Amino acid sequence: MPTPDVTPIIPELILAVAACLVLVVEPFLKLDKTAVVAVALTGLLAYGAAAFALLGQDMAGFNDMIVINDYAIFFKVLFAAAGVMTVLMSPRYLEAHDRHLGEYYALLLFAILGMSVLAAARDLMAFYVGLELMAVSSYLLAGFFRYRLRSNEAALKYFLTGCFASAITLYGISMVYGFTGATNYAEVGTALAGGENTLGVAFATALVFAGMGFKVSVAPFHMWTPDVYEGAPTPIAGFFSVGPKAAGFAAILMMFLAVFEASVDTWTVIFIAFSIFTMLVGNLFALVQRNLKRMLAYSSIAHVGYLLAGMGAIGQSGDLLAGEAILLYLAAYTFMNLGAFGVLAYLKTQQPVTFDYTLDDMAGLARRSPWAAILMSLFMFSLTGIPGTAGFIGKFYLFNAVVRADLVWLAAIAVIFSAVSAYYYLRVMVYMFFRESEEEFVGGEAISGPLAASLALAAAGVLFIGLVPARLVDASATAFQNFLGL
Amino acid sequence: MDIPIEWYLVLSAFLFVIGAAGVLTRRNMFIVLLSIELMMNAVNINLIGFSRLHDNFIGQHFVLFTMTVAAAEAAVGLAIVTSLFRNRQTTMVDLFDLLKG
Amino acid sequence: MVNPTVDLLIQFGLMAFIGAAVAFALIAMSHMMSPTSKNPNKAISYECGVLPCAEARVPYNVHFYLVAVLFVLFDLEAVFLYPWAVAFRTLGVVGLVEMFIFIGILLVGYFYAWKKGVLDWE
Repeated sequence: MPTPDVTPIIPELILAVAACLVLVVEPFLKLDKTAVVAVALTGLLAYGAAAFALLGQDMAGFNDMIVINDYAIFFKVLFAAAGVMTVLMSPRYLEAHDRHLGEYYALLLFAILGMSVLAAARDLMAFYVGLELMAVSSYLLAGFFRYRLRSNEAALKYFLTGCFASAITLYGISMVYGFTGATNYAEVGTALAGGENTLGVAFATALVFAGMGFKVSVAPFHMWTPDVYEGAPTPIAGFFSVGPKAAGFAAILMMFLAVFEASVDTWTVIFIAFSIFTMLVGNLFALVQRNLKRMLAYSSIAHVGYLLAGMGAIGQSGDLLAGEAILLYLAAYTFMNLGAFGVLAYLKTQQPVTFDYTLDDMAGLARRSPWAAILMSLFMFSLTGIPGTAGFIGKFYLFNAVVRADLVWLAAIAVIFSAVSAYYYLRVMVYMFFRESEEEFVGGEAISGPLAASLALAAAGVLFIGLVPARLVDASATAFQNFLGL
Repeated sequence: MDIPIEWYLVLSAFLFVIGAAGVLTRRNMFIVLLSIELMMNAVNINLIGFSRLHDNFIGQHFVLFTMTVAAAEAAVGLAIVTSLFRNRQTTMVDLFDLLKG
Repeated sequence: MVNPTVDLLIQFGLMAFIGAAVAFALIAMSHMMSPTSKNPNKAISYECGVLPCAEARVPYNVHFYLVAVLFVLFDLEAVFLYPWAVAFRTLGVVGLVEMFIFIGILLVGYFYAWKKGVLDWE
């Protein structure tokens, strides 16, 4: 057997080595976990840098199971950014809960490794292994506060729904293999284009869609989302809301464009229908939430609804624009949502006892810590889609693509729901700036360096994409076109 | 005489539905875990059956990975249940209602 | 001549019926012919004649679960060794190196568990 060429998986190898290193170093550390944080950060940065250095490459490895191309690299860099921000906001938060352990970083790195494989997979087997690596690490991260019932419960709910969902996806995959006798995307796509077994293929498509819908929380498969976000550690909740979702959409795009290309008419209808329902559920439930983590969970469901509309537009017109817009939207969403969770994590480290993520806890924040209030406002503006922020660029390109696919009515619904969403995002600002806190504020510690760096990174990302979008637009365009030239 | 593929498919479909019904209706955590395992094994039967039908080994390779993943899931599930049991002294799913959906 | 599938079904049905009938008949016979005693002492679990002093269903030490979990994980990794061993000659040195990497990753996990004291009993 010839020596396999490892070039396509160099970034993943770096990440795997870093994760194993964390596990080896961790048992030797006493209370100070700085070394582990440093290893994790270095690993993530090296992973992102290696991916960046491979830009422009287009090759497949390991029996065409995994590829490296601009599409995979776009997601790898995005995951590296999300990972760095999550790692930076974690140490102080975990110390505030007396659970600063090294395993946390190892699990985070393994989850990112799974996401990375998921975005680069060109074979159902690699897809499944990546999906499960991401999912199993996520279950443990959700339950990381082992002595707190809420965290336990979040882990249990995530585990049960997650396993159920992956079993359903797996059943769909096994049927796809049955119809085609192959698991490689290209081969399966060609075989399915033959057009036999239409009903069976539609059934398999529905199973895969349902399973992936659970993972990226498409309504009505979204029930676990608010509970898991509320119970999980805040940086992890932020990570869940961006990382696995971006990876899920990376895989959904590839699956439905490469594998299920033949049944495009069927799934376009499915995506559009679920898009409307998901936008409706996400936005309406977000309106009534008093707990900010739950509000952000429902808002993340609403954002998934917009992204599904983009998928519908791709199916409708075969237009490249919608695919590029989805990539752009995911990048914008990563920075703004993780930033919002970062501010919440900061507030929790300041008042570990009294802060309970409710709207009332935000009252008078502008007076207590103006910087936190200003950053939170920036992220809320961006989530609403106010011009000048990343959220606006994402929504603009996405809705534009939907209109160009002759789905004007769908774009109109999405814009109306965006307007509704302004209510619950801007309400947070009303509380921060115009309400006075009823309780006397007990002075907290100053913000820790890494946490500040993380928030600065998120804010810089939001402003950069919002004010000079050209570079990222180009990047996502090349990434997506490259992906279509499969 | 060869057993036709439909038989495997019917068996696997039955197992899968039994497993899914178990996940949705049973209250004991351990039974739910077992039901999930049942669903995964239904898929394994599918894959092996198809592997024989198509006369290639991809399905059998896939089964190795599903088995390992199922073991990892079972291990994580057991760990979560143990830590829950330590805090709550019960394994009944519907008693966990601190987080209202 | 009957359709082969139907033939197979008939064979299967006959076998299932005979099997079930024999099992049922044996259980029924032993139930009817055996002498029965209604003494409540029969319900007590048998502890070599000594009266049991506590419930047998006590929760086990958490350690058992930890070891069980580790066993499940490491035991299943062996499934990857079998195909490798079968194809050992074709895979050659590259396969050997790859398997060492695989085992090495497992050892990292083992080392971690060891250092964390999972294997220390008391």
